[in-house]
Amino acid sequence: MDFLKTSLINWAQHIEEMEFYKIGHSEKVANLAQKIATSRFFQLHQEVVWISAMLQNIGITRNDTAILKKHRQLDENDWSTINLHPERSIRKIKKISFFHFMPNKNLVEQIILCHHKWYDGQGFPHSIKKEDIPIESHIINIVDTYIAMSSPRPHRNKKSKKEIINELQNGVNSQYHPEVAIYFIHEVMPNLEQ
Amino acid sequence: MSQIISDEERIKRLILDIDSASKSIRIVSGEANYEIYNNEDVVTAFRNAKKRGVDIKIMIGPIIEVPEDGNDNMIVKLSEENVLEIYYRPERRTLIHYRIVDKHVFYAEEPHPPLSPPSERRVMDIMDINDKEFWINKMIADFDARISEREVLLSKREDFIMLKPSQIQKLISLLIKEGESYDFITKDVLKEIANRLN
Repeated sequence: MDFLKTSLINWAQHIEEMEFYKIGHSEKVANLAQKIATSRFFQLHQEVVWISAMLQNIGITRNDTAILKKHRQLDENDWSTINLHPERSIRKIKKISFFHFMPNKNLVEQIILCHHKWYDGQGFPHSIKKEDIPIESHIINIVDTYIAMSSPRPHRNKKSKKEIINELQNGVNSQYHPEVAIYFIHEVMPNLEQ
Repeated sequence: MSQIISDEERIKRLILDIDSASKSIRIVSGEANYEIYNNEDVVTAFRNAKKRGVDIKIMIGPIIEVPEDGNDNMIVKLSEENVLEIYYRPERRTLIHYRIVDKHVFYAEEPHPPLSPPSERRVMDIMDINDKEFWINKMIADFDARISEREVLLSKREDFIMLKPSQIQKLISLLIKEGESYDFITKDVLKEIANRLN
C-alpha cells in the first residue's frame, strides 16, 4: 500500500503542477476525506475514499487547465470539454493494472464519476441520478471545497472559518448533502487548524 | 462538540422530546435498537403523542433489530397500530441518526458503524440557537423531500429484514468476507445473504 500511495501522490502532483498553487491539494483532500470516512465506514472503505480522492482529477488535461485560466467567462464549448474530466479520469485509471485487482473498484469508479455531482442531482455527468451518488462523493465534494477555500489562491487570500461556514451553509440541500454538511461543520471543522 | 450519554439518559431525552411534541416528530434511525424503542415508557410516550394528534414518521432499515427472546420490535408494532409511520430506506444512505420534534428539538448522533452499542454513540451538540434553527429547517426540508420523492417508501413489516443481534453480527461478517458493504448493498442482495443465515 505504501508503494501505491507514493505512486498516486506523485501522479496527482504531476497533474497539479499545471496549476502550481494546487500542488498537494489532492493529498490533503484524500487524507481528510479518509479521516471522516473512518467514523462510519468499514476498514475497507478508508482506502476506497483515499484512492478515489487521489484519482478524481487524474483526467484533467493541459487543455482543461488552459480553458480554466482564460480571462473571460467560459462558454458552452469550454464547459462541455471540462465536464468530461470525470469520465476521462475513469478511462485513465482503467489502464492501470493494479486497479483491476482492487476490491470495490466499481465503487471507486462511481465515486470518481460523481465527484462534481451535487446532492440535488445537478452537475455533471448529467446521466447520473442523485440517488446513485455514493456518500463518499458527497464527503470528497465538501472536503475538496473546504481545502480550496482554506488555501490562498493567486486571485484571493484564504477564507476565514466564518466565511467558509457561510458558503457551505448556502449550499446545503443543493450542492451539499445535509447530513455530511452538518457533521463536517460541527464535528470536523472545529478540530481543523486553519 | 459531541458527547457520549448513557442509555438511561438517551431514553430519558427521547421520552421528554416525544412528550414535548405538539405537531410532528421526524426520526431517522438505523436498526431501531430495541433496547431503546421497546422501553415501555417510550412506547407509552409514542401512543400518547398520537392521541394528541402528533404526526410521527420514522425512517429505518434496511435491517430492524429484534430481541433474541423472539419478541417483536415495538416500532413495527406501533406502525401496525397506526401510532406512527415507518419508512424503508432502500440503502443506508444517511450518515447521522437524528430526530426533529416540531421545530424546537434537534437531536443528532455522530456517524457510527451499524449496530454500535448505544453507549458508544456520540450525540452532536448543536449549541448556537441560530445555527440550530438553520439545521432544523434544512433537515425537515430534506426529510420531507425524500418522502415525497419516494426515495424512501411508506412500509410494512415484510419490507424489512428482521434479525436478532447475533444474526446481524453474522451477516456483517459474511458481508465483509464477500467484499460487500452494508452501507450500499441493495435490498435484494442483502435479503439473499440474510436468507443464508437460516
